[in-house]
Amino acid sequence: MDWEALIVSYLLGFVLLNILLVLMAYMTWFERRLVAFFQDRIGPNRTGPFGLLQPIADGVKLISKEDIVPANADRLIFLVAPLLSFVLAPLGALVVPFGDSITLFGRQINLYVIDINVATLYFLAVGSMGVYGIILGGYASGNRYSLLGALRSTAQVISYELVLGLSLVGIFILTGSLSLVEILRAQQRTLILGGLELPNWFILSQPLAFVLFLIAAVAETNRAPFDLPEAETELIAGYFTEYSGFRFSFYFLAEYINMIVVSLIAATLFLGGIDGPFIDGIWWLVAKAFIFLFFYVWLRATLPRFRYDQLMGLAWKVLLPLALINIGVTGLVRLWGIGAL
Amino acid sequence: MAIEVLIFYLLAGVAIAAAAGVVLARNPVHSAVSLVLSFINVAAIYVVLRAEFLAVAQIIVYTGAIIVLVLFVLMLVQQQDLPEFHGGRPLRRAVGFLLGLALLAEVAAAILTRSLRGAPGSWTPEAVAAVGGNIQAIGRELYSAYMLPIQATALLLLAATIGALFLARPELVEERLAVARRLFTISLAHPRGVDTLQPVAELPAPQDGQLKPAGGDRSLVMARTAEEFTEQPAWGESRR
Amino acid sequence: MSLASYAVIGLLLITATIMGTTLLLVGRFVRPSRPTPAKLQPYESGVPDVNPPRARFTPRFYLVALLFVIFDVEAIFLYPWAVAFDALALYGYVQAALFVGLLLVGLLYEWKKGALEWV
Repeated sequence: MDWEALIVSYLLGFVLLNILLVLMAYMTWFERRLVAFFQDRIGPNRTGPFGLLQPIADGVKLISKEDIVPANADRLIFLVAPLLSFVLAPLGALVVPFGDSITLFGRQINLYVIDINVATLYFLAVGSMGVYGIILGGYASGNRYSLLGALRSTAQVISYELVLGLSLVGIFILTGSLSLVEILRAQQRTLILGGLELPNWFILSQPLAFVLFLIAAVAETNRAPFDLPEAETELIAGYFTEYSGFRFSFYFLAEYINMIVVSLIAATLFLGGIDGPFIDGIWWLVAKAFIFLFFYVWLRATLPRFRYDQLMGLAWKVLLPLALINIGVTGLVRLWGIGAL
Repeated sequence: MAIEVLIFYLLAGVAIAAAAGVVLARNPVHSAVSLVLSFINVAAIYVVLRAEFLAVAQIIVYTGAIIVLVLFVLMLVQQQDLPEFHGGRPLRRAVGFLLGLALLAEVAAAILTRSLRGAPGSWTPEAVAAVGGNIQAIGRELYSAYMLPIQATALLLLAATIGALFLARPELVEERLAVARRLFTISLAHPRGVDTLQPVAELPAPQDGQLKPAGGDRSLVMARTAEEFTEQPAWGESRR
Repeated sequence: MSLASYAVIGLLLITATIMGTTLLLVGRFVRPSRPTPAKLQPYESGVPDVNPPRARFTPRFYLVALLFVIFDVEAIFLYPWAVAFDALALYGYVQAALFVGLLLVGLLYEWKKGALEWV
């Protein structure tokens, strides 16, 4: 085992973890300000300049709130479930490549935490583990609304997870790899289309997959218009009805970290990640991820919530067949491309 | 090399402890959670053995799908309805114990009599690295040498799809969809004051095609049978 | 492939757990703890709880989970095919089409039978 590499990537991962936490805090501020703007309000602007200290104030408030464990809760699982959500959320970001290797203090350092052969599947696997925080939290609360919210949310997340995974198969066919570093490299080539020189970003060669991924990702992170588990008009707050104080905020943290991680992954898979005009670099990745985050807030401010039967119908009757069609067509085109047809 | 052996024993130890937890926990949900922990440790052992694809497949399929299914079942069924996890009839316990012992003996015999290290195949570590990695090698092998098993798997999954429908919603398979729809329409339409709070014990035993009380000793149930309602067609639905 | 990459995942998993637990432990010294019987009741929007808390739910959820398991296995089989696509070429494509086609028959069957309707 290479101890030096291990320590370097552990430190990088630790830094990334902390950056994600800070970003997440400011994502809540960004969302509140932006939604307020959409709705012709002002939003939080009292705590510090432009309300910039609001996330800190929220954190202090939540940490000093009472942590209530209901009498008929399954105590151990009730206490652990939100922690599980929180711990798993940032892990997906470890495989995102943030740049090429740089030389620092006479040592070559890769600007990604880890590059594994099954990176994309790893991201999906971490996502599939994420449902445990939801289903166990809902079960352990001992509240009917929580349990119903958890069941709904889990059924939703697993249905869209399928679409999320299958929408990426087209990219795997084109690159022959699951590694995000390889997928990024494939996109850094140029695509010549009708005399036009375009970047080989997969949004151009896999537009249907991009749309499917985007819809599935929003549903997977339980965000509007797919925020049915939290349908407050019917389920109070879904699976976290009984949670309070900092344990509640763990679910909140997890949701926002998931949004950021999915945005980073989507930017890397479809928009060429760090690839961009002029100089390639992490700023392009950040800018692209920011577009997705803006899109999340925009959706929330614009669209009403889906009805549950529409939600499940969309996944199984529209998106799943479309994902399979996308795989079939991509395969045919690729066969023609490599001269096997 | 030594560190890998150490990691293996750590992971294997946790996996076995978690597996023991599955059997020993009194609450079935706790059992399921222990099983998740055990599966994750097994996946980590696969990683140590350089079987990356198998590891993620283990996590995605077993912990991500199958245990979720198990948890769904546990939550859909009321806890009172679950069979006793401990105790039960002595004969059943004895049979279970003997079967477990037989399985243990079988596994032990297999391990002790055969060499675990088979003949080396054509996929040496170098060959795997040459095609790009573990998953690429599996793809090449699976879709060439294992053509028949792959299609057999597809057939099996197809059978499972049909079986799933039959298990979960037999009324659809048995073409009782029309009846179900009629019941649903009526219960939404509420032509007159039909829902009353009344003790379940006073109700006639639920018959086929009739809504059953939801649970508890006093429940909101439909006071009349569906057939009575169809005397006055709801929402202009014509009688058969 | 190096084992170190996976070790990093494991170590960061532990680190994140420690961070989370620390946050909760810090809160322990700050937050009040004044449980009252009413506070520990399940929240039902003020309506007293009469039914047993773990009531039955519609089997549709169960069907969705079953279908998910089946199609998840299908997806797992498609990933190795996709990354080895160029090497397998037409032969692999036909096989995968057959594989997916059989499962598509299953999906269509569920669809026709009304299993995908949520009503």
